[in-house]
Amino acid sequence: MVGTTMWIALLAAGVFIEVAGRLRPNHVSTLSRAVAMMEERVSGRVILIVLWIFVGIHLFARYTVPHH
Amino acid sequence: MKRATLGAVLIAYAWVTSGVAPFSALSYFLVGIPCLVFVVIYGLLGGLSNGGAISADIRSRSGESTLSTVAPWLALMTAVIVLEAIGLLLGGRSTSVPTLSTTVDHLLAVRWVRCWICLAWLLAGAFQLYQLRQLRRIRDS
Repeated sequence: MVGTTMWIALLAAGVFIEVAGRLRPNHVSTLSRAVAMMEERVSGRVILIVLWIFVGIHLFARYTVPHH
Repeated sequence: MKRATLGAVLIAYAWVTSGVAPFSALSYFLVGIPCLVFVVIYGLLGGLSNGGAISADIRSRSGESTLSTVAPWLALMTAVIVLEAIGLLLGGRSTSVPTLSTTVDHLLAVRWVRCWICLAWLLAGAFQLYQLRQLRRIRDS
């Protein structure tokens, strides 16, 4: 329960950072700008592609439906 | 019309993928197809080449981002990794500190939610290809 709450808190923090990035673009980057910064190098692009593929395989080919 | 067709294809694909049993050959196949298509098109559009032009185009999208402006995202990523590591150290299925995938598994129990998440995943990939194509068009014109 504590862990789940922390995941939700981290999600909320992400939303907060995104809003801050839109309100104060000179101080905080939005997620799209941060990702674009990572994409400047080929290695960054490859990492993002591998991450995208990992998410797809993990969520849609290797998920486990919890028992209630 | 093209976008509507593409949208309908992606929704149908997400629905079919979300209905297949996990850990089956078909589930790996259905996830593998968009991955393969993505990598091939991304490569053809020059996304995997070390050319400075693409990097410069992308740099224009990142704006004035510096290490200090992306620091909150780095801190968030670090927190995610730490919490995931703690969850894994506790066995991965701990109810007090579950891993991210264990938390998400609860959402994946319902097919239509699974379908929406799958659609979001497909759209994230399609959006990357669309952006790269736009950059190529601007550069070529």
